Amino acid sequence: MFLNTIDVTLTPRKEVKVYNVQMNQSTLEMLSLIFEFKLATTWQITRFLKQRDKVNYIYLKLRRLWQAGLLESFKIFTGSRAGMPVYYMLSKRGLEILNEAGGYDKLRLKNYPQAKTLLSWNLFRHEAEVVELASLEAKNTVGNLKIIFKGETESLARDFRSDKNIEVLTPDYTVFYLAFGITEKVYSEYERTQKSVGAMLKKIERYVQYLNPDENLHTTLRFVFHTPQMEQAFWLGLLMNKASFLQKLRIFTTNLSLLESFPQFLEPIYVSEQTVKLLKQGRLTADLTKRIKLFSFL
Amino acid sequence: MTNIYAELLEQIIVEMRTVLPHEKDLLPGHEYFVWLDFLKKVKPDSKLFIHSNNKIKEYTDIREIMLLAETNHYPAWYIQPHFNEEDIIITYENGELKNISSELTVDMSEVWAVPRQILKFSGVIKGILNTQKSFIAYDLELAGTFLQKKEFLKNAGFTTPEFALFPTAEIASISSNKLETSLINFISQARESGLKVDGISIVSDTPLLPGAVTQIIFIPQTN
Repeated sequence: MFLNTIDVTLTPRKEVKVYNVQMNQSTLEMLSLIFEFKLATTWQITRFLKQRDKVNYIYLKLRRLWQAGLLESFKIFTGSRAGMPVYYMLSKRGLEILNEAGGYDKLRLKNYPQAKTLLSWNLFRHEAEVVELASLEAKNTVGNLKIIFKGETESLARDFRSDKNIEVLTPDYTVFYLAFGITEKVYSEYERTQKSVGAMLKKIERYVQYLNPDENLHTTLRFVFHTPQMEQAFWLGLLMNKASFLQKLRIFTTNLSLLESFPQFLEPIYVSEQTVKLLKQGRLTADLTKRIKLFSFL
Repeated sequence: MTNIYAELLEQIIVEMRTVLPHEKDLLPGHEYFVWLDFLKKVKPDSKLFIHSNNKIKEYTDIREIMLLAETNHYPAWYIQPHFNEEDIIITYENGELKNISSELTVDMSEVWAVPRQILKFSGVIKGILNTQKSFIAYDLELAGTFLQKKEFLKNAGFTTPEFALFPTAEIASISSNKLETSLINFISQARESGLKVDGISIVSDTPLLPGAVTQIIFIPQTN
């Protein structure tokens, strides 16, 4: 089995019966999810939508959207227990449908990556993990707790005040926790590779500068690191170089080793300014032993 | 002088009660609650609070209580069983047992653990009967903290229910499922000792809801 995307090709659609897909709210919602997260497997779409739609219906609908040419699909071995899942991404026709529906601005639709870009190994691994994390978190919607999402393409915030029209916030996805009349916004960044302290601080600085201070009360910037070591290096860098950011923005972190199942998103798996300690044992380290939940009401 | 002002304050609140809708229909932050909070500061033993505590708010979702704890900056809260049976109200005047009232038809001569005298005490004690017809005192209408009231009841010779600290300080690091499980265990233990319990009464020495409310009830859905 290959653990890369070199030999991956889009599934050919020849000799497949073409269906006329009914363009209803449910169809648009599926296309939107795939657009916002760039790609997704059937079971990931199911996690987002199964509160409302039956699993079999979602499976069939996605297959028909592919048959109708609105989606592209490919199989890839990801090295996980899932084996070779079928991933869906939007086709040119799918993007046109979304454009006609009018939910997204044209620039964002235009920036949707082409298949060859999405199939580059590094980008694929990042996007595949992002949609996996978000879809797992979505499973925690229950009773009075609602968790809703905006994928990466809908989370970007641009600064239209300057002539340059630059992206100021680039979260991988945004989550909204709604409970008891409160809405908590969580900008989520998945860090798959080690970045320099300077790059991480620059990233946080953009949130600090762009976000309205009144908005910060119910806003969290969450980093999910690929390894515990990356998480520890992040805190050491932040505390040693720009601890003042912690007074301006609620920053929480965790790592993939603590996110093996969906209920763990609601468990005390996060480090924040309240829990992290600097330790000097020969050299200075960040002690991340104590962990708390994302919100007190979880 | 303070007493005169406190009485005037009580009059204002009583007048407001006659013209305003019921407390539960007023929005948090209403002027009525501001007056009530101020009265709580200057006269915590006002009779108006005895009345306002009659309707205790019930919660079935522990997460809402956790949010309340955070809003109140993690105060000290106590928990004790919430009983699912008729109250028995015992009134003392000048240290002597004056009256026992209940909607239950109980022959009080058969009831255990009710002291006939409490030195210099005038006031009301609330409780229930357990299966052995022993009186369990869980509250008294007298100014004081939760612990002071417990101490008073114990010293007077009453049997009191088990109580514990609500883990407000650990709310950030304990999941709602685990907290609910531990509270359900607390309820089960109270039931094992022969008490009819349907939930947990959470008591605070400081207001935990607008209107100087110092007590709420948690009734688990998985009861």
